[in-house]
Amino acid sequence: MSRLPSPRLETGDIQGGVLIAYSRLGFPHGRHLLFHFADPAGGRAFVEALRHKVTTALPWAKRGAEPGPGEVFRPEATLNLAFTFNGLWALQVPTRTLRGLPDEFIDGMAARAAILGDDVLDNTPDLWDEVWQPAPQGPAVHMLAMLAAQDDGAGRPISAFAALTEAILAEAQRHRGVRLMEGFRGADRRWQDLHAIFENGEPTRHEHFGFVDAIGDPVFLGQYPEGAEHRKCRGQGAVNGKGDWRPIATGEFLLGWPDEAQEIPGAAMPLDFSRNGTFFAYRKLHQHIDRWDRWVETATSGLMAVWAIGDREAARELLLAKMAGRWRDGVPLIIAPTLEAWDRFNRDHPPGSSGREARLTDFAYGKDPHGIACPVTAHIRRANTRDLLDPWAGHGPKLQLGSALNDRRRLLRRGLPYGAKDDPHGEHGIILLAHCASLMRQFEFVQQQWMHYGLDFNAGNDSCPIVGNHGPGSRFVIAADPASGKPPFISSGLEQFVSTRGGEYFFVPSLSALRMISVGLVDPT
Amino acid sequence: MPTVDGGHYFLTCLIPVQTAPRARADGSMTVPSHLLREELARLPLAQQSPETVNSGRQSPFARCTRTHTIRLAVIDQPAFQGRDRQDVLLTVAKGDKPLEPRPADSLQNSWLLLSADLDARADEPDKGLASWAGGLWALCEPELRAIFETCVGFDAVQDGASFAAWLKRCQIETWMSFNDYWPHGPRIRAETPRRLLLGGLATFLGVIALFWWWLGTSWWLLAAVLPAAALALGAVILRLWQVGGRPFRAAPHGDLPSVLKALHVQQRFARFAGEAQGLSPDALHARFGAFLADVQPSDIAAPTQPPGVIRSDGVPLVEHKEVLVEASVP
Repeated sequence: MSRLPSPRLETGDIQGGVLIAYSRLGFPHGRHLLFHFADPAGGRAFVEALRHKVTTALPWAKRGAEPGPGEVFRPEATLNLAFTFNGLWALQVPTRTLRGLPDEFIDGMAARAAILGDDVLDNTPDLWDEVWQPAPQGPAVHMLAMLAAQDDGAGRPISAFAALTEAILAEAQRHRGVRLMEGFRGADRRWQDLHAIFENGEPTRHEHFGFVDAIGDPVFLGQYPEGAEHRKCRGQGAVNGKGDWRPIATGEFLLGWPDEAQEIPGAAMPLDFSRNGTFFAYRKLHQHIDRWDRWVETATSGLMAVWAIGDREAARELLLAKMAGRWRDGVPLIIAPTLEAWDRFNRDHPPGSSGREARLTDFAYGKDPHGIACPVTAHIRRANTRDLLDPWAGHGPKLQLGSALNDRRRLLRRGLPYGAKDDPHGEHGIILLAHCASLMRQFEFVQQQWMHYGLDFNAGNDSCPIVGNHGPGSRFVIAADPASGKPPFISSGLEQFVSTRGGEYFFVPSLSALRMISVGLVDPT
Repeated sequence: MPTVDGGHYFLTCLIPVQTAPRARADGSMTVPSHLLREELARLPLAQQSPETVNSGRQSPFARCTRTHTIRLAVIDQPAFQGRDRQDVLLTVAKGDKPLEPRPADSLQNSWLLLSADLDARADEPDKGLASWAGGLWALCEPELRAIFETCVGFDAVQDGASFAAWLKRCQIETWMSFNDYWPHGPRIRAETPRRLLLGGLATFLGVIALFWWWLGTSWWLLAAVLPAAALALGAVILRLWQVGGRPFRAAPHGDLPSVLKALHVQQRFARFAGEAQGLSPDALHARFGAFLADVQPSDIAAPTQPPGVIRSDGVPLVEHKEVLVEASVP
């Protein structure tokens, strides 16, 4: 397969955090502030005042080093801005531009509840954090300011974090009609704090259920300097019927670039308003740790009985791995389907060893069509189906289509955990920012069809065992190798482990578009 | 794919809607097509979502166990497709003037489209249309009267038989119909290119032989080649037409009662499989016996899933927020 040329992305125009997650760049702390603009001119002046503080995607110099050519100093804290449709409207972006925005973005997340599974169980918007509850209960969310910070070495954000927060709040007070929205659950009603889970003073990549998170993430054309995406795309990009991997088209994640349909889809005009921007779905996802622990113990007992496993620890690890598609340390079941293979993998590629990270994502599902190694309904198999849905699977490289049905459903995952297991307010979960060029085609499709439904996996109504909705009658099936003589394990009575506690759809403008918005000069003609 | 295909009757009717203004119950005036639309909007949907389940109402068509799907839509005007495209050179050659408007099609009255997928009856002369319409009339006469009373000619309908006859008058041939109840696809005896070629060749040689018998060996035989080839081609086309016109075979157990029973057995078996895990062979045997006695897989009639619902394994389909929200919601 010939290698596609990498576009040279305008990193000075793209907001930071889009190409690479801050959490991967040594920023384990975050803070999210929401603003409402009661006065258009005041709102624009506020955005203009913040504009020069916004972090771009320009590459950073190494820690403590002087910037080389094309590089900038590595910041101690970062700032990025994103807007809701109501926010753009409140800042008087012209109608002709607004009407070019996608329906789902105009609707907002709460209005899409029935699509997202937020209309049932305890996901409903009336149970969301007060600040996220849709109008008319409260003022509409207009702008999200996202801060990220390095660690001070003692598990706390570096002092620049507080200084940046103060600077933003001071600017907000200086401009007419700019209101910091309050009503977050947790210790401070004024904002949402996020942070990696620390162990022994070091940030980890674990989430509250104990899995290593943020392993797989799409790799797309132009994402890395010097075409490094061609090296990183194995297992993370698109795969053809012959098993050759390539980076995904830039336009799946950045507006104004050719996408997987080889076109630049319709966007809000002028194109400079949309180009180099992106959308994300903001999800505050509460994790019911008590329910999780209780159900996992019950299901572990069931698995021990049905598969005649004597060791409770081993059975629990196996159950958790089958639910996620990865062992808790991130080793994929497709590569290490048994406890023995898992041990062997970790002996051969111990944590921290070179090449381990790349191996954790370098796999496909073609050789496991029935989910013997990794259940067809496991979390990672649903979230990124790779070659699983190839309609010509098993018909040879000439006919096989690889990941064709997956390539337009990818999401760049950003975000961090929030709270702690023992948080006195019961606040513990994950803030997920799912970036994509089309919220409907990518985020909403994956959420509705792959997380909350099982038809594409020949699994009927079965939802994702971890993040799916678990109403009455929910079940999770673990296929067994027929050669083992063991029956499949059918676990039922799954409780709701993850519930929505807030969220909205946001547009992340490029720095060009941010300037157009803040100076009130969006010219759609 | 014709009106009757794969054991199913794909009914398409275009029913003219009256045009004379009429008074509503409150005295306000409107047109029959609006009364019809209002009636259609009032029709309850099947209980297949929390919203419709909570409404407590059920589609009247769910009373009929021969109706797989039914769709009713009002067509006011055809969609204008734009000016017919034409080759630029031809336009110039014919002296057409693109600035002169051409007539656009329009309808003189609204039409009600009825499109339904029913279980056909192979042993009935009309393949089951009259018996279905008569049965539907017996089950939902009030609703059918409310829907169709704004339609032309419906005032002559008095009973099931006259309803069927009236629908028949409004029926048009169905051209594109589709459903698929084949688990793995049927074995189709189709014509192969080789067989068609052999058939064509046989026809060709047969015609040549006829001429040879008639004229003997003479150069006149050369003149027979063209009609022989035309006849051979005609024979091939006729054969293809015959084969293509044959209805698709009915899928086994593709009728609605069987489909509903299958859905019921599938759901109940999935529950059984989960509940019977880890039982000893004797206990499993006994449990499976109890399952068979309870579910009666070979009895299509009962127990089964009623039409118009999405599941029948006893699990409620409701907005179960109240069921599961705990005081622990922070």
